[in-house]
Amino acid sequence: MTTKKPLIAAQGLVKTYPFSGGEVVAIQNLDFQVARGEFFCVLGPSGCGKSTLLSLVSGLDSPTAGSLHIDDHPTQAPPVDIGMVFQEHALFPWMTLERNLSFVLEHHPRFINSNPLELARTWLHKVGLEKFNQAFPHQVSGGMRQRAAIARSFAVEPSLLLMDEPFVYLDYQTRMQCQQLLLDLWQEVRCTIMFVTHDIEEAMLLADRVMIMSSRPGSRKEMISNALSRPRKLLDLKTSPDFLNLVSRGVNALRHELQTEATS
Amino acid sequence: MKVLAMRLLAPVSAFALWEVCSRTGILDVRFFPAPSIILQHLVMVSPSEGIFQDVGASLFRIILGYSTGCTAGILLGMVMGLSVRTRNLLYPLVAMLYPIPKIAVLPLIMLIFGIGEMSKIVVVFIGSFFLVLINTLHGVVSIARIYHQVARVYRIPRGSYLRHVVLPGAAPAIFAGLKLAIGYSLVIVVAAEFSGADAGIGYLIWQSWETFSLKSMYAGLFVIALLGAAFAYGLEWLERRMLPWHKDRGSGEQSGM
Repeated sequence: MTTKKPLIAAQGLVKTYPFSGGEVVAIQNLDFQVARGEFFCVLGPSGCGKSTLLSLVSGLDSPTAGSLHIDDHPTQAPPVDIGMVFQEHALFPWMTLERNLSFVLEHHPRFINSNPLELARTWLHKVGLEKFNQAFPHQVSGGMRQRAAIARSFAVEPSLLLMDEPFVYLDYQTRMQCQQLLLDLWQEVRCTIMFVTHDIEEAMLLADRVMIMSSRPGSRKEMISNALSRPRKLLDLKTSPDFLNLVSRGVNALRHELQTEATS
Repeated sequence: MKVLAMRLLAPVSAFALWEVCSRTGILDVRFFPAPSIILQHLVMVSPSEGIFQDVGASLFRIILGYSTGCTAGILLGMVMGLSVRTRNLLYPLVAMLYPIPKIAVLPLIMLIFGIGEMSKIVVVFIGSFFLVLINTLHGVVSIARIYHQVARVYRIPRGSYLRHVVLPGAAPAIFAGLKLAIGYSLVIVVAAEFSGADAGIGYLIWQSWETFSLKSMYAGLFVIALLGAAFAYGLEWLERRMLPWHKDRGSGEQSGM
């Protein structure tokens, strides 16, 4: 996989925002590459510009300087299909769960010849929501909403899946279930995932590679390769020495940020 | 059942109090006939005085003015909500015209459209239009950014985006506008019929006042009250049917109408 050209390539990436007369630097001089089929995590404390980075990759926002390409194309017109999972509330509240999925499917050129509703139900079944096809988002729990959002993002069979701290508002147990679900789904389809989180454990559980960012301005601090074998089972991983070793590497890399965060 | 009893409690008590006061002479029955007498008049006498034609005439004006005004308000509200340019261009004008009492422009409208049907329909149109426009605009603007982003990421085509994302996103606010506008339409049409009309509930009330047939006047007021309640509950019902996702969220459950 590494011999092929990377799917995402960023070089000297800068993003600034105007702020009370001056400007604030969200991302400073960032270089990285993401390989095809890689599970790539961006790990950093709040304010490190990781959500900004995601909106740049998704093309929802454009960089101030530097280059950012997906498959050699500018991010505003990516040649590949992108799926996205947000922190929360990204399901349309006025659509049932199955309609949320079928709505994006029926407008997708690749599924023009398939039955969107049937596909939607298949995917909801895969994430264990087959009994809630007709439910509206507000009628199910937060964990179920996020599972439906994950199902929606996988249903379009994206080449690149962007995830912005999708499990941040879930309780510990629900989060673990969702993380395992994500790992299992990804094991099947092996699309490229760029996953943003501030949770060191989460990054080490999921990723092939973890890019650690420092805060204010966001820049690359360290890149950690995660060679834990796949398929991964969270319960086994969480107690394995290799995993704990990775977590402590992450903690050490962020030692400075964690300290300043606690005192500021 | 309990809810129904709750809802009937206030109107029934008010009528009972009124009835008692009229019967015991606390109220002068020449000016305030008992509600039972008015109801009797409404059922027995008013039809022969042509109340059905009057209600029909008013309903015709309301339905035409309201439906066209709301449609135009929703359409322009969506455009202004989505396009900052259109908003900057038109909002100052809207903000200036909106607070003008629509009845105050009736003479002007009559100058332009004559004293016939058209001028009354046009005032109802104008009244509904501004209320629905402002509510729709507010609804579209306050749709959470994330829904626009989702639509962009999944490359939802424009038409579908408008129909399935923007319209339902703004629908609760649009319904708030529709509900305000129907009551307001009733107010406007009655006031417009006070002058230069030969039929309508407003005409009935004014005629009755001039001939001092107070029972007929009260009959007209009763009909307006009934129509107002029917419109309000009708729209509530429609809202619950069309926005099933909205009914049991937050305040919807408490108001539970």
